Amino acid sequence: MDIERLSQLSRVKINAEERRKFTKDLAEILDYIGALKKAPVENLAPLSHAADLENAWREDKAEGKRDTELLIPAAPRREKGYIKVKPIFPII
Amino acid sequence: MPSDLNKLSIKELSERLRGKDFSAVELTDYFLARVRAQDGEINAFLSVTEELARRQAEEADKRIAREAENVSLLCGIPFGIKDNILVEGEIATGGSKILENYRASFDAEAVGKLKKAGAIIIGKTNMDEFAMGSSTENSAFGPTKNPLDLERVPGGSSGGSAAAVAAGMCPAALGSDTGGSVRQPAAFCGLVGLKPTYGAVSRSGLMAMSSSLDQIGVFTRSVSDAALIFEAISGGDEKDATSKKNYFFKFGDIEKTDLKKLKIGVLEEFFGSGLNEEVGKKTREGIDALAVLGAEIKEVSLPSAEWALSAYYIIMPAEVSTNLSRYDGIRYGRFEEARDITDSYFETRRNFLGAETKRRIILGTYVLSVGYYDAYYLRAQKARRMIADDFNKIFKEVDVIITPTTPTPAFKIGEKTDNPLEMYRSDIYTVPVNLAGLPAVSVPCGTVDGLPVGMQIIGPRFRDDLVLGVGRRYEEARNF
Repeated sequence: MDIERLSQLSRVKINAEERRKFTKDLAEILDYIGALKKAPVENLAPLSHAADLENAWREDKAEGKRDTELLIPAAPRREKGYIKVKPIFPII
Repeated sequence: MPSDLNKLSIKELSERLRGKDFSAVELTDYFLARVRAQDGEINAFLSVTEELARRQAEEADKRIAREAENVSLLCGIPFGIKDNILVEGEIATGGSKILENYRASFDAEAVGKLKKAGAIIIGKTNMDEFAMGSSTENSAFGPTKNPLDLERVPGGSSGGSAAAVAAGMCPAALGSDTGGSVRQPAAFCGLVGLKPTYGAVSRSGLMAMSSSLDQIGVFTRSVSDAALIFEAISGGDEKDATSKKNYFFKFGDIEKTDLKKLKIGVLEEFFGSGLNEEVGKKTREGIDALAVLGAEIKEVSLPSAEWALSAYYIIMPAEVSTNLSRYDGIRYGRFEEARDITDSYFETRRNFLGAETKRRIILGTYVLSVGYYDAYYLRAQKARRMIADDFNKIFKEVDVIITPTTPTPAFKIGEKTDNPLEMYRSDIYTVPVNLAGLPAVSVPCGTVDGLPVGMQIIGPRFRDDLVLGVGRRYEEARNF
Protein backbone atom coordinates (compact mmCIF):
# COMPACT_ATOMS: atom_id res chain seq x y z
CA MET A 1 0.00 0.00 0.00
CA ASP A 2 1.50 3.30 -1.12
CA ILE A 3 0.41 5.55 1.76
CA GLU A 4 1.98 8.63 0.19
CA ARG A 5 -0.03 8.26 -3.01
CA LEU A 6 -3.27 7.53 -1.13
CA SER A 7 -2.67 10.57 1.03
CA GLN A 8 -2.32 12.65 -2.16
CA LEU A 9 -5.47 11.14 -3.71
CA SER A 10 -7.56 11.74 -0.61
CA ARG A 11 -6.20 15.23 0.13
CA VAL A 12 -5.19 14.16 3.61
CA LYS A 13 -1.72 15.18 4.60
CA ILE A 14 -0.12 12.96 7.20
CA ASN A 15 3.04 13.51 9.18
CA ALA A 16 5.97 11.13 9.58
CA GLU A 17 4.64 9.60 12.78
CA GLU A 18 1.20 9.01 11.28
CA ARG A 19 2.83 7.47 8.22
CA ARG A 20 4.71 5.01 10.42
CA LYS A 21 1.64 4.19 12.52
CA PHE A 22 -0.78 3.93 9.55
CA THR A 23 1.59 1.69 7.61
CA LYS A 24 1.55 -0.79 10.47
CA ASP A 25 -2.19 -0.45 11.28
CA LEU A 26 -3.33 -0.63 7.67
CA ALA A 27 -1.15 -3.68 6.99
CA GLU A 28 -2.90 -5.46 9.87
CA ILE A 29 -6.33 -4.31 8.75
CA LEU A 30 -5.67 -5.35 5.13
CA ASP A 31 -4.47 -8.70 6.33
CA TYR A 32 -7.73 -9.12 8.25
CA ILE A 33 -10.11 -7.95 5.54
CA GLY A 34 -8.07 -9.85 2.95
CA ALA A 35 -9.65 -13.02 4.35
CA LEU A 36 -12.61 -12.08 2.20
CA LYS A 37 -10.68 -13.45 -0.78
CA LYS A 38 -11.72 -16.88 0.49
CA ALA A 39 -15.42 -16.05 0.71
CA PRO A 40 -17.52 -18.06 -1.77
CA VAL A 41 -19.18 -15.08 -3.44
CA GLU A 42 -18.48 -15.69 -7.14
CA ASN A 43 -22.07 -16.13 -8.27
CA LEU A 44 -23.63 -13.41 -6.16
CA ALA A 45 -24.77 -10.00 -7.33
CA PRO A 46 -23.23 -7.13 -5.37
CA LEU A 47 -25.50 -5.46 -2.81
CA SER A 48 -24.84 -1.76 -2.32
CA HIS A 49 -27.85 -0.97 -0.20
CA ALA A 50 -30.37 -2.82 1.95
CA ALA A 51 -33.19 -0.38 1.15
CA ASP A 52 -35.84 -1.57 -1.27
CA LEU A 53 -35.53 1.57 -3.30
CA GLU A 54 -38.44 2.98 -5.19
CA ASN A 55 -38.37 6.04 -7.37
CA ALA A 56 -38.54 9.02 -5.06
CA TRP A 57 -39.59 11.85 -7.28
CA ARG A 58 -40.43 15.22 -5.91
CA GLU A 59 -41.25 18.64 -7.25
CA ASP A 60 -38.11 20.67 -7.97
CA LYS A 61 -39.19 23.70 -6.03
CA ALA A 62 -37.16 25.94 -3.77
CA GLU A 63 -37.90 25.93 -0.06
CA GLY A 64 -36.43 28.00 2.74
CA LYS A 65 -35.90 31.43 1.29
CA ARG A 66 -33.15 32.43 3.72
CA ASP A 67 -30.69 29.92 2.34
CA THR A 68 -27.95 32.25 1.14
CA GLU A 69 -28.36 34.49 4.16
CA LEU A 70 -27.78 31.48 6.38
CA LEU A 71 -25.23 29.56 4.39
CA ILE A 72 -22.77 32.15 3.09
CA PRO A 73 -21.81 33.47 6.55
CA ALA A 74 -20.78 29.93 7.50
CA ALA A 75 -17.95 30.03 4.96
CA PRO A 76 -14.56 30.80 6.52
CA ARG A 77 -13.56 33.14 3.67
CA ARG A 78 -15.98 35.38 1.86
CA GLU A 79 -16.29 38.70 0.10
CA LYS A 80 -19.34 40.76 -0.93
CA GLY A 81 -21.75 37.91 -0.28
CA TYR A 82 -19.66 35.33 -2.14
CA ILE A 83 -17.57 32.44 -0.89
CA LYS A 84 -13.91 33.16 -1.55
CA VAL A 85 -11.32 30.48 -2.23
CA LYS A 86 -7.55 30.43 -2.62
CA PRO A 87 -6.14 30.41 -6.18
CA ILE A 88 -7.31 27.33 -8.05
CA PHE A 89 -4.30 27.10 -10.36
CA PRO A 90 -1.26 26.02 -8.42
CA ILE A 91 1.31 28.70 -7.75
CA ILE A 92 4.58 27.42 -9.11
CA MET B 1 -39.50 18.87 43.62
CA PRO B 2 -38.93 15.10 44.12
CA SER B 3 -35.29 14.05 43.95
CA ASP B 4 -35.49 10.78 42.00
CA LEU B 5 -37.01 12.00 38.74
CA ASN B 6 -33.98 10.64 36.91
CA LYS B 7 -35.29 7.13 37.60
CA LEU B 8 -38.78 7.62 36.17
CA SER B 9 -39.90 6.45 32.74
CA ILE B 10 -41.05 8.90 30.10
CA LYS B 11 -44.62 7.77 30.62
CA GLU B 12 -44.40 8.44 34.37
CA LEU B 13 -42.75 11.81 33.86
CA SER B 14 -45.41 12.73 31.33
CA GLU B 15 -48.24 11.78 33.67
CA ARG B 16 -46.76 13.88 36.43
CA LEU B 17 -46.23 16.82 34.10
CA ARG B 18 -49.92 16.65 33.23
CA GLY B 19 -50.86 16.13 36.85
CA LYS B 20 -49.03 19.43 37.57
CA ASP B 21 -46.66 17.75 40.04
CA PHE B 22 -44.02 19.88 38.38
CA SER B 23 -43.71 21.97 35.25
CA ALA B 24 -41.62 21.27 32.14
CA VAL B 25 -39.46 24.26 33.12
CA GLU B 26 -38.82 22.69 36.54
CA LEU B 27 -38.12 19.29 35.01
CA THR B 28 -35.67 20.83 32.53
CA ASP B 29 -33.92 22.73 35.34
CA TYR B 30 -33.72 19.50 37.31
CA PHE B 31 -31.88 17.70 34.51
CA LEU B 32 -29.71 20.73 33.66
CA ALA B 33 -28.63 20.80 37.31
CA ARG B 34 -27.68 17.13 37.06
CA VAL B 35 -25.62 17.90 33.96
CA ARG B 36 -23.82 20.71 35.79
CA ALA B 37 -23.14 18.50 38.80
CA GLN B 38 -21.85 15.45 36.92
CA ASP B 39 -20.66 16.29 33.47
CA GLY B 40 -17.34 17.84 34.46
CA GLU B 41 -16.28 14.30 35.24
CA ILE B 42 -18.22 12.30 32.63
CA ASN B 43 -17.91 14.60 29.56
CA ALA B 44 -21.11 13.32 27.95
CA PHE B 45 -22.09 16.71 26.53
CA LEU B 46 -20.19 18.78 23.98
CA SER B 47 -22.62 21.66 24.37
CA VAL B 48 -25.54 22.36 26.66
CA THR B 49 -28.38 24.13 24.85
CA GLU B 50 -29.77 25.82 27.93
CA GLU B 51 -31.42 28.77 26.22
CA LEU B 52 -33.18 26.61 23.64
CA ALA B 53 -34.24 24.17 26.39
CA ARG B 54 -35.78 26.90 28.57
CA ARG B 55 -37.64 28.37 25.59
CA GLN B 56 -38.97 24.94 24.62
CA ALA B 57 -39.90 24.11 28.23
CA GLU B 58 -41.99 27.28 28.56
CA GLU B 59 -43.72 26.43 25.31
CA ALA B 60 -44.32 22.84 26.52
CA ASP B 61 -45.89 24.12 29.74
CA LYS B 62 -48.26 26.29 27.71
CA ARG B 63 -49.22 23.35 25.52
CA ILE B 64 -49.84 21.10 28.50
CA ALA B 65 -51.95 23.78 30.18
CA ARG B 66 -53.91 24.31 26.95
CA GLU B 67 -54.48 20.75 25.78
CA ALA B 68 -53.09 18.25 28.29
CA GLU B 69 -55.11 15.39 26.80
CA ASN B 70 -53.95 15.91 23.23
CA VAL B 71 -50.23 16.48 23.61
CA SER B 72 -47.66 13.78 22.92
CA LEU B 73 -46.22 11.86 25.87
CA LEU B 74 -42.88 13.38 24.81
CA CYS B 75 -44.10 16.92 25.46
CA GLY B 76 -41.87 18.45 28.14
CA ILE B 77 -39.38 15.53 28.19
CA PRO B 78 -35.67 16.55 28.01
CA PHE B 79 -33.44 14.87 25.40
CA GLY B 80 -29.77 14.70 24.58
CA ILE B 81 -28.94 14.69 20.86
CA LYS B 82 -25.78 13.15 19.43
CA ASP B 83 -23.63 15.89 17.98
CA ASN B 84 -23.76 14.56 14.40
CA ILE B 85 -27.52 15.24 14.33
CA LEU B 86 -28.39 18.82 13.46
CA VAL B 87 -30.36 21.14 15.74
CA GLU B 88 -31.05 24.46 14.03
CA GLY B 89 -28.98 27.33 15.37
CA GLU B 90 -26.84 25.12 17.60
CA ILE B 91 -23.20 24.11 17.19
CA ALA B 92 -22.83 20.66 15.61
CA THR B 93 -19.22 19.45 15.67
CA GLY B 94 -19.77 15.77 14.95
CA GLY B 95 -16.95 15.25 17.46
CA SER B 96 -14.48 16.88 15.04
CA LYS B 97 -12.21 19.93 15.24
CA ILE B 98 -13.01 20.62 11.60
CA LEU B 99 -16.59 21.56 12.58
CA GLU B 100 -15.70 23.13 15.93
CA ASN B 101 -17.41 26.41 14.96
CA TYR B 102 -20.16 25.02 12.71
CA ARG B 103 -23.71 26.07 13.52
CA ALA B 104 -26.51 23.99 11.98
CA SER B 105 -28.74 25.87 9.55
CA PHE B 106 -31.66 23.46 9.84
CA ASP B 107 -33.15 20.73 12.04
CA ALA B 108 -32.57 17.06 11.25
CA GLU B 109 -35.92 15.51 10.36
CA ALA B 110 -35.85 13.38 13.55
CA VAL B 111 -35.12 16.48 15.65
CA GLY B 112 -37.89 18.41 13.90
CA LYS B 113 -40.30 15.62 14.78
CA LEU B 114 -39.20 15.56 18.41
CA LYS B 115 -39.62 19.33 18.62
CA LYS B 116 -43.07 19.08 17.09
CA ALA B 117 -44.02 16.54 19.78
CA GLY B 118 -42.90 19.09 22.38
CA ALA B 119 -39.68 17.35 23.45
CA ILE B 120 -36.95 19.52 24.94
CA ILE B 121 -33.35 19.52 23.76
CA ILE B 122 -30.89 20.07 26.59
CA GLY B 123 -27.63 19.45 24.78
CA LYS B 124 -25.47 17.83 22.12
CA THR B 125 -23.64 14.70 23.14
CA ASN B 126 -20.05 13.60 22.73
CA MET B 127 -19.07 11.02 20.14
CA ASP B 128 -16.19 9.51 18.22
CA GLU B 129 -15.22 11.86 15.40
CA PHE B 130 -17.91 11.61 12.71
CA ALA B 131 -19.12 8.43 14.47
CA MET B 132 -15.91 6.51 13.77
CA GLY B 133 -15.09 4.49 16.82
CA SER B 134 -16.37 2.11 19.46
CA SER B 135 -15.36 3.90 22.66
CA THR B 136 -15.85 7.69 22.21
CA GLU B 137 -12.08 7.99 22.63
CA ASN B 138 -11.82 9.31 19.06
CA SER B 139 -13.68 12.49 19.98
CA ALA B 140 -11.61 15.61 19.32
CA PHE B 141 -12.98 16.95 22.61
CA GLY B 142 -11.82 14.27 25.01
CA PRO B 143 -13.29 10.88 25.85
CA THR B 144 -16.58 10.29 27.65
CA LYS B 145 -16.42 8.16 30.77
CA ASN B 146 -18.76 5.34 31.62
CA PRO B 147 -20.89 6.62 34.55
CA LEU B 148 -21.00 3.10 36.02
CA ASP B 149 -17.20 2.87 36.17
CA LEU B 150 -15.26 6.02 35.41
CA GLU B 151 -12.17 4.07 34.36
CA ARG B 152 -14.08 2.43 31.54
CA VAL B 153 -15.41 3.57 28.17
CA PRO B 154 -19.15 4.08 27.67
CA GLY B 155 -18.82 2.45 24.25
CA GLY B 156 -19.19 4.29 21.01
CA SER B 157 -19.60 5.98 18.81
CA SER B 158 -22.70 7.38 20.58
CA GLY B 159 -20.97 7.17 23.97
CA GLY B 160 -22.04 10.64 25.08
CA SER B 161 -25.72 9.87 24.53
CA ALA B 162 -25.40 6.58 26.43
CA ALA B 163 -23.50 8.13 29.34
CA ALA B 164 -25.96 11.04 29.56
CA VAL B 165 -28.93 8.70 29.97
CA ALA B 166 -27.07 6.25 32.23
CA ALA B 167 -26.05 9.08 34.56
CA GLY B 168 -29.61 10.37 34.67
CA MET B 169 -28.71 13.65 32.97
CA CYS B 170 -31.66 13.17 30.59
CA PRO B 171 -34.35 10.47 30.31
CA ALA B 172 -33.55 9.73 26.66
CA ALA B 173 -31.15 10.55 23.86
CA LEU B 174 -30.77 10.13 20.11
CA GLY B 175 -27.71 8.46 18.67
CA SER B 176 -26.71 7.01 15.33
CA ASP B 177 -25.79 3.43 14.51
CA THR B 178 -23.62 2.51 11.52
CA GLY B 179 -22.13 -0.74 12.81
CA GLY B 180 -23.35 -0.88 16.40
CA SER B 181 -22.90 2.69 17.63
CA VAL B 182 -26.21 2.71 19.51
CA ARG B 183 -26.48 -0.94 20.60
CA GLN B 184 -22.89 -1.34 21.84
CA PRO B 185 -22.86 1.76 24.11
CA ALA B 186 -26.36 0.86 25.32
CA ALA B 187 -25.02 -2.57 26.33
CA PHE B 188 -21.95 -1.02 28.03
CA CYS B 189 -24.08 1.45 30.00
CA GLY B 190 -26.99 -0.83 30.96
CA LEU B 191 -29.53 0.84 28.69
CA VAL B 192 -31.98 -0.04 25.96
CA GLY B 193 -30.57 0.90 22.54
CA LEU B 194 -32.69 0.71 19.41
CA LYS B 195 -31.26 0.62 15.89
CA PRO B 196 -34.33 0.82 13.66
CA THR B 197 -34.65 -0.79 10.24
CA TYR B 198 -32.58 1.05 7.63
CA GLY B 199 -35.09 3.43 6.07
CA ALA B 200 -37.45 3.65 9.07
CA VAL B 201 -36.09 7.00 10.30
CA SER B 202 -35.06 9.81 7.97
CA ARG B 203 -31.33 10.47 7.77
CA SER B 204 -31.92 14.07 6.72
CA GLY B 205 -29.74 16.21 8.98
CA LEU B 206 -27.59 13.31 10.16
CA MET B 207 -23.97 13.89 9.13
CA ALA B 208 -23.29 11.17 6.57
CA MET B 209 -20.60 8.70 7.53
CA SER B 210 -21.51 5.53 5.65
CA SER B 211 -24.79 6.33 3.95
CA SER B 212 -25.87 2.77 3.20
CA LEU B 213 -25.44 1.77 6.86
CA ASP B 214 -26.19 4.86 9.00
CA GLN B 215 -29.45 4.97 10.93
CA ILE B 216 -30.63 7.22 13.76
CA GLY B 217 -31.42 5.32 16.96
CA VAL B 218 -32.63 5.81 20.50
CA PHE B 219 -31.23 5.39 24.06
CA THR B 220 -33.64 4.92 26.97
CA ARG B 221 -33.90 3.04 30.24
CA SER B 222 -36.86 0.95 29.06
CA VAL B 223 -38.09 -0.67 25.86
CA SER B 224 -41.45 1.08 26.05
CA ASP B 225 -39.73 4.48 26.27
CA ALA B 226 -37.67 3.55 23.18
CA ALA B 227 -40.83 2.53 21.31
CA LEU B 228 -42.51 5.79 22.29
CA ILE B 229 -39.66 7.85 20.83
CA PHE B 230 -39.35 5.64 17.77
CA GLU B 231 -43.04 6.22 17.08
CA ALA B 232 -42.39 9.97 17.11
CA ILE B 233 -39.33 9.98 14.82
CA SER B 234 -40.15 7.16 12.38
CA GLY B 235 -41.60 7.65 8.93
CA GLY B 236 -40.68 8.24 5.32
CA ASP B 237 -39.29 11.62 4.34
CA GLU B 238 -38.95 13.30 0.95
CA LYS B 239 -35.56 14.62 1.99
CA ASP B 240 -34.16 11.08 2.43
CA ALA B 241 -34.75 9.00 -0.69
CA THR B 242 -33.72 5.83 1.17
CA SER B 243 -36.44 6.27 3.80
CA LYS B 244 -39.52 4.12 3.38
CA LYS B 245 -42.50 5.89 1.88
CA ASN B 246 -45.69 5.66 3.94
CA TYR B 247 -43.98 3.80 6.79
CA PHE B 248 -44.96 4.71 10.33
CA PHE B 249 -44.29 2.71 13.45
CA LYS B 250 -47.24 2.46 15.84
CA PHE B 251 -46.48 2.11 19.54
CA GLY B 252 -49.52 -0.13 20.00
CA ASP B 253 -48.00 -2.77 17.70
CA ILE B 254 -45.51 -3.90 20.34
CA GLU B 255 -48.37 -4.91 22.63
CA LYS B 256 -49.50 -7.43 19.99
CA THR B 257 -46.35 -9.51 20.49
CA ASP B 258 -47.33 -12.89 21.92
CA LEU B 259 -44.30 -14.93 22.93
CA LYS B 260 -46.35 -18.13 22.88
CA LYS B 261 -46.67 -17.76 19.13
CA LEU B 262 -43.06 -16.82 18.50
CA LYS B 263 -40.00 -18.73 17.41
CA ILE B 264 -36.72 -17.30 18.60
CA GLY B 265 -33.50 -18.18 16.80
CA VAL B 266 -30.26 -18.46 18.76
CA LEU B 267 -27.36 -17.64 16.48
CA GLU B 268 -24.82 -20.29 17.41
CA GLU B 269 -21.88 -18.65 15.60
CA PHE B 270 -22.14 -15.70 17.98
CA PHE B 271 -21.68 -17.84 21.07
CA GLY B 272 -18.34 -19.22 19.96
CA SER B 273 -14.73 -18.23 20.58
CA GLY B 274 -14.08 -14.57 21.25
CA LEU B 275 -17.13 -14.30 23.48
CA ASN B 276 -16.56 -13.62 27.16
CA GLU B 277 -17.94 -16.68 28.91
CA GLU B 278 -19.94 -14.75 31.50
CA VAL B 279 -21.47 -12.51 28.83
CA GLY B 280 -22.53 -15.64 26.96
CA LYS B 281 -24.04 -17.06 30.13
CA LYS B 282 -26.08 -13.92 30.85
CA THR B 283 -27.37 -13.86 27.28
CA ARG B 284 -28.42 -17.51 27.50
CA GLU B 285 -30.22 -16.75 30.78
CA GLY B 286 -32.11 -14.03 28.93
CA ILE B 287 -33.10 -16.50 26.22
CA ASP B 288 -34.16 -19.03 28.88
CA ALA B 289 -36.40 -16.40 30.45
CA LEU B 290 -38.15 -15.94 27.09
CA ALA B 291 -38.54 -19.70 26.79
CA VAL B 292 -40.21 -19.80 30.21
CA LEU B 293 -42.61 -17.14 28.94
CA GLY B 294 -43.63 -19.49 26.15
CA ALA B 295 -41.38 -18.72 23.19
CA GLU B 296 -40.05 -21.62 21.14
CA ILE B 297 -36.26 -21.56 20.99
CA LYS B 298 -34.39 -22.85 17.96
CA GLU B 299 -30.72 -22.93 17.02
CA VAL B 300 -30.00 -21.12 13.78
CA SER B 301 -26.86 -20.53 11.76
CA LEU B 302 -25.50 -17.57 9.80
CA PRO B 303 -22.53 -19.10 8.00
CA SER B 304 -21.65 -15.84 6.25
CA ALA B 305 -21.19 -14.08 9.61
CA GLU B 306 -17.54 -15.04 9.23
CA TRP B 307 -17.18 -12.43 6.47
CA ALA B 308 -19.27 -9.65 7.98
CA LEU B 309 -16.59 -7.67 9.80
CA SER B 310 -14.24 -7.80 6.79
CA ALA B 311 -16.99 -6.69 4.41
CA TYR B 312 -17.95 -3.92 6.83
CA TYR B 313 -14.39 -2.61 7.12
CA ILE B 314 -14.27 -2.31 3.33
CA ILE B 315 -17.72 -0.90 2.59
CA MET B 316 -17.76 1.56 5.49
CA PRO B 317 -14.35 3.21 4.84
CA ALA B 318 -15.17 3.34 1.11
CA GLU B 319 -18.29 5.36 1.87
CA VAL B 320 -16.43 7.39 4.52
CA SER B 321 -13.71 8.39 2.07
CA THR B 322 -16.28 9.80 -0.35
CA ASN B 323 -18.67 11.30 2.23
CA LEU B 324 -15.94 13.10 4.15
CA SER B 325 -14.58 14.83 1.06
CA ARG B 326 -17.10 17.56 1.87
CA TYR B 327 -14.97 18.70 4.80
CA ASP B 328 -12.65 20.90 2.78
CA GLY B 329 -12.68 24.20 4.68
CA ILE B 330 -14.45 26.06 1.87
CA ARG B 331 -18.14 26.32 2.76
CA TYR B 332 -18.12 25.84 6.54
CA GLY B 333 -16.01 24.72 9.44
CA ARG B 334 -12.35 25.37 10.09
CA PHE B 335 -9.97 26.48 7.37
CA GLU B 336 -6.19 26.57 7.21
CA GLU B 337 -4.43 29.19 5.09
CA ALA B 338 -2.19 27.93 2.31
CA ARG B 339 -0.93 29.34 -0.96
CA ASP B 340 -3.49 27.71 -3.24
CA ILE B 341 -6.73 25.78 -2.97
CA THR B 342 -5.22 22.29 -3.15
CA ASP B 343 -2.74 23.05 -0.42
CA SER B 344 -5.50 24.54 1.71
CA TYR B 345 -7.41 21.24 1.44
CA PHE B 346 -4.32 19.37 2.58
CA GLU B 347 -3.57 21.74 5.44
CA THR B 348 -7.17 22.02 6.64
CA ARG B 349 -7.66 18.26 6.71
CA ARG B 350 -4.23 17.63 8.22
CA ASN B 351 -4.83 20.02 11.11
CA PHE B 352 -8.48 19.41 11.88
CA LEU B 353 -9.15 15.71 11.25
CA GLY B 354 -8.18 13.07 13.81
CA ALA B 355 -6.06 9.96 13.32
CA GLU B 356 -8.85 7.38 13.02
CA THR B 357 -10.69 9.55 10.50
CA LYS B 358 -7.55 9.89 8.39
CA ARG B 359 -6.90 6.16 8.66
CA ARG B 360 -10.38 5.31 7.38
CA ILE B 361 -10.26 7.88 4.57
CA ILE B 362 -6.98 6.39 3.39
CA LEU B 363 -8.26 2.82 3.70
CA GLY B 364 -11.44 3.75 1.82
CA THR B 365 -9.47 5.45 -0.91
CA TYR B 366 -7.36 2.32 -1.23
CA VAL B 367 -10.23 -0.17 -1.55
CA LEU B 368 -11.87 2.02 -4.18
CA SER B 369 -8.74 2.64 -6.23
CA VAL B 370 -8.04 1.17 -9.64
CA GLY B 371 -6.70 -2.36 -9.38
CA TYR B 372 -8.13 -2.98 -5.90
CA TYR B 373 -11.80 -2.19 -6.43
CA ASP B 374 -12.70 -5.70 -7.62
CA ALA B 375 -10.59 -7.47 -5.01
CA TYR B 376 -11.97 -5.50 -2.08
CA TYR B 377 -15.02 -3.31 -2.65
CA LEU B 378 -16.86 -5.48 -5.16
CA ARG B 379 -16.16 -8.64 -3.16
CA ALA B 380 -17.38 -6.96 0.01
CA GLN B 381 -20.63 -6.00 -1.71
CA LYS B 382 -21.10 -9.61 -2.80
CA ALA B 383 -20.43 -10.80 0.74
CA ARG B 384 -23.02 -8.26 1.86
CA ARG B 385 -25.53 -9.92 -0.45
CA MET B 386 -24.66 -13.31 1.05
CA ILE B 387 -25.20 -12.01 4.60
CA ALA B 388 -28.55 -10.41 3.72
CA ASP B 389 -29.64 -13.63 1.97
CA ASP B 390 -28.60 -15.74 4.96
CA PHE B 391 -30.64 -13.57 7.31
CA ASN B 392 -33.65 -13.89 5.00
CA LYS B 393 -33.32 -17.66 5.11
CA ILE B 394 -33.20 -17.64 8.91
CA PHE B 395 -36.31 -15.46 9.08
CA LYS B 396 -38.21 -18.15 7.18
CA GLU B 397 -37.64 -20.41 10.19
CA VAL B 398 -37.83 -18.02 13.14
CA ASP B 399 -39.42 -14.64 13.98
CA VAL B 400 -36.49 -12.98 15.73
CA ILE B 401 -32.84 -13.79 16.41
CA ILE B 402 -31.06 -13.30 19.72
CA THR B 403 -27.31 -12.81 20.20
CA PRO B 404 -25.06 -11.12 22.73
CA THR B 405 -24.74 -7.41 21.81
CA THR B 406 -20.99 -7.31 22.47
CA PRO B 407 -18.29 -9.93 23.06
CA THR B 408 -17.24 -8.35 26.39
CA PRO B 409 -18.51 -5.79 28.91
CA ALA B 410 -17.15 -2.20 28.81
CA PHE B 411 -13.36 -2.15 28.46
CA LYS B 412 -10.92 0.22 30.13
CA ILE B 413 -10.17 3.67 28.72
CA GLY B 414 -6.97 3.41 26.67
CA GLU B 415 -7.11 -0.39 26.47
CA LYS B 416 -7.66 -0.58 22.70
CA THR B 417 -6.60 2.83 21.40
CA ASP B 418 -3.27 1.59 20.04
CA ASN B 419 -4.79 -1.34 18.20
CA PRO B 420 -7.54 -0.32 15.76
CA LEU B 421 -8.27 -3.90 14.72
CA GLU B 422 -8.91 -4.90 18.36
CA MET B 423 -11.29 -1.93 18.64
CA TYR B 424 -13.09 -2.96 15.42
CA ARG B 425 -13.70 -6.44 16.85
CA SER B 426 -15.95 -5.05 19.58
CA ASP B 427 -18.60 -4.54 16.87
CA ILE B 428 -18.52 -8.10 15.59
CA TYR B 429 -22.09 -9.01 16.62
CA THR B 430 -23.71 -5.72 15.64
CA VAL B 431 -22.17 -5.08 12.21
CA PRO B 432 -24.02 -7.83 10.25
CA VAL B 433 -27.35 -6.20 11.21
CA ASN B 434 -26.38 -2.92 9.52
CA LEU B 435 -25.11 -4.69 6.41
CA ALA B 436 -28.54 -6.30 6.02
CA GLY B 437 -30.46 -3.16 7.05
CA LEU B 438 -32.34 -4.96 9.83
CA PRO B 439 -33.87 -3.61 13.06
CA ALA B 440 -32.27 -4.62 16.37
CA VAL B 441 -32.52 -3.63 19.98
CA SER B 442 -30.06 -4.20 22.81
CA VAL B 443 -31.70 -4.77 26.19
CA PRO B 444 -29.88 -5.14 29.51
CA CYS B 445 -29.73 -8.79 30.61
CA GLY B 446 -27.69 -8.65 33.80
CA THR B 447 -24.20 -7.76 34.93
CA VAL B 448 -20.76 -9.35 34.99
CA ASP B 449 -18.53 -8.09 37.82
CA GLY B 450 -20.87 -5.13 38.20
CA LEU B 451 -20.70 -4.22 34.50
CA PRO B 452 -23.87 -4.39 32.39
CA VAL B 453 -24.38 -6.92 29.62
CA GLY B 454 -26.70 -6.46 26.64
CA MET B 455 -28.76 -8.97 24.71
CA GLN B 456 -29.41 -8.18 21.04
CA ILE B 457 -32.81 -8.95 19.49
CA ILE B 458 -32.77 -8.83 15.67
CA GLY B 459 -35.83 -8.90 13.40
CA PRO B 460 -36.73 -8.89 9.71
CA ARG B 461 -36.81 -5.57 7.88
CA PHE B 462 -39.56 -3.25 9.12
CA ARG B 463 -40.46 -5.60 11.97
CA ASP B 464 -39.18 -3.14 14.54
CA ASP B 465 -42.45 -3.86 16.33
CA LEU B 466 -41.34 -7.47 16.86
CA VAL B 467 -37.89 -6.73 18.27
CA LEU B 468 -39.37 -4.10 20.57
CA GLY B 469 -42.28 -6.38 21.45
CA VAL B 470 -39.98 -9.23 22.48
CA GLY B 471 -37.80 -6.77 24.40
CA ARG B 472 -40.87 -5.39 26.14
CA ARG B 473 -42.11 -8.86 27.20
CA TYR B 474 -38.62 -9.59 28.52
CA GLU B 475 -38.38 -6.42 30.60
CA GLU B 476 -41.90 -6.93 31.99
CA ALA B 477 -40.89 -10.39 33.17
CA ARG B 478 -37.63 -9.10 34.60
CA ASN B 479 -39.42 -6.18 36.29
CA PHE B 480 -37.34 -3.40 34.87
